[in-house]
Amino acid sequence: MEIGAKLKDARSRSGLTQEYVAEAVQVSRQTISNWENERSYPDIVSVIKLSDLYNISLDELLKGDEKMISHLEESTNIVNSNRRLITAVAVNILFLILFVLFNGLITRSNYLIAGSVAIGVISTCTLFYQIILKF
Amino acid sequence: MLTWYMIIFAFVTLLGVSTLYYQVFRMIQLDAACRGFKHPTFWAVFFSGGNNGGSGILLYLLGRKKYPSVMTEEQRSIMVSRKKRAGVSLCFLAAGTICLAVSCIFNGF
Repeated sequence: MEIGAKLKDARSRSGLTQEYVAEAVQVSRQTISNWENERSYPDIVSVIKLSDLYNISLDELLKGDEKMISHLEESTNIVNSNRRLITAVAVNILFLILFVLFNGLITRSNYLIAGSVAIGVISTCTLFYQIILKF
Repeated sequence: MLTWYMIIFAFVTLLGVSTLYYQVFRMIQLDAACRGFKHPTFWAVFFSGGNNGGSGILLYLLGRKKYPSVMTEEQRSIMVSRKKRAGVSLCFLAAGTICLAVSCIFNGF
């Protein structure tokens, strides 16, 4: 069973309303609804609060839901996100060096120039996106 | 020579740039507010600019480390949605720039 269905099921069994849970976890009722319909996922602190509120173990809530596990991994794994950023910086520097080194060769053909522009723009945008993900 | 599709590519690029700037502005504003900065809008205007856009964000990301963030679940979901929108803006920007550059290279300016 996915986490949304588990949360909905646990709340019904506890006889609580979405409004009550929202107040207890300090989020809006809409957020509770989003979690239950899997439009978004709760963070680890909210999951702990919900497990206390519904008297359900974290094991029961989290295990068996691959999407939730990957969401938690993505939101808590700083080492991985730093690695992606460093890789993007390294790739950009590598392309810059390659463009400078093969400058003479690239300018001989329009196709090579267009390809270089495309590679440069894509790698820069990827780097910028990795920076944005740091927020 | 300027053709109709170059105008479209330029428009797509400008659309990407403007929406990206707006998303970055709102993200910095929200983050600054969550960290208890006194004038989040000022910091958002100050850091979302920069000579190429990226330097301001980098400075902000380095400078904010000393201030702990208290973000509610609501604000976190807004931030996630803004990141996604910024990603879409970047796609528009990249596609527009590449197409414009390629058409300029093969058709002349």
